[in-house]
Amino acid sequence: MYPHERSLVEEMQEKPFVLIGVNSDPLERARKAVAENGLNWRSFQNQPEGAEKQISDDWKVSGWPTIVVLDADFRIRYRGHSGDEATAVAKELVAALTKQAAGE
Amino acid sequence: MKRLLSLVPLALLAVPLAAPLVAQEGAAPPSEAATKAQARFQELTAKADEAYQAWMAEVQEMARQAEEAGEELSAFPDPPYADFIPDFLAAADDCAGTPEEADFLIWVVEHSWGSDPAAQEGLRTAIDRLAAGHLADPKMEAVARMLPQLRFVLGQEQTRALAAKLERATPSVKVKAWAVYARLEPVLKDGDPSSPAYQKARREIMALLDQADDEWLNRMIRDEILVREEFAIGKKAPDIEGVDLDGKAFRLSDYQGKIIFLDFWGDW
Repeated sequence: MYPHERSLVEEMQEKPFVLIGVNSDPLERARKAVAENGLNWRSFQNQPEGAEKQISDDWKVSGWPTIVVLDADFRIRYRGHSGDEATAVAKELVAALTKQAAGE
Repeated sequence: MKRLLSLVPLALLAVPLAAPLVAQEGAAPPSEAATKAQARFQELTAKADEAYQAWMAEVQEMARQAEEAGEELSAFPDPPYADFIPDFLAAADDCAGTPEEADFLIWVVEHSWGSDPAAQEGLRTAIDRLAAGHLADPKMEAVARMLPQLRFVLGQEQTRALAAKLERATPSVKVKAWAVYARLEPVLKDGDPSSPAYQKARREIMALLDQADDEWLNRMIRDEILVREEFAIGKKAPDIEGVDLDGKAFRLSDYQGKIIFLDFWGDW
């Protein structure tokens, strides 16, 4: 997954797009993964020290990875486990949003 | 390792389910034939478990070697259960028509996973015989729990027919809940949540869930149905208030206005 996500972030850098992670690892391991793989997106800690709840519980995530794509109005446009499908949905939304902005 | 972990639990799952089957003792002392059949069941399951342990050790060794070589284990042999299916079916023949027959047949259903045609044939035989003579047996809970997976082997239509028979015949509310779920699953999974058909199906399964108090079924319903309703396409997403990997606080809604690709990830 890392190369796919990394290049997606690079490719979409200038676009109205953001990749945000929710990371389930112990903090040290997550930081090591970021450093060693040059991961270029911001992540929430799924359950930071002292937190009572996991973000993934609030979002009813039971299988990892899970990807949720939100449109500009914060509405869900994709939820599932396929990076390719999520990417296709996100790119379509970005294209529509860009077109709309250009038309205004 | 990922693939190994996702496949092995299916095989493991059968072991705890099989355990209570042997300990079904009624008030009356078991007949000599029943005692004999129970002893044979013990003997056969012990042999099969032994073969399983050997297989498990082999797979773990393969996984260890692959990990040492820095590779991912991509293929490993099927669990050895298929070899025992003929023995179990033969034992079922010898006690046909008795409650013990169900023990042998249920074992076959629980252990004939995989693409092996002989195993699939054994599974069909066992299902047919259970449907013919043991539908009301509370032990059928083991089969009812497998309905969601059985359709991949038996096909949609046959699985639904089996579920309908179980629903009518069973005195067990757990069996009924699983059977009803098998019937309603298509509506619950693909139906429009605002449609009357969906609402009706939802009410029916939720009422049964309360009665059945089955942790596994609860979880499936929660995962599949409630997630679908709360996180359906077009629904507004909840905000996230949290901290990033540097400990800095932020919210998901800080990014509202952009297309957000929210990725629940881990370094596996």
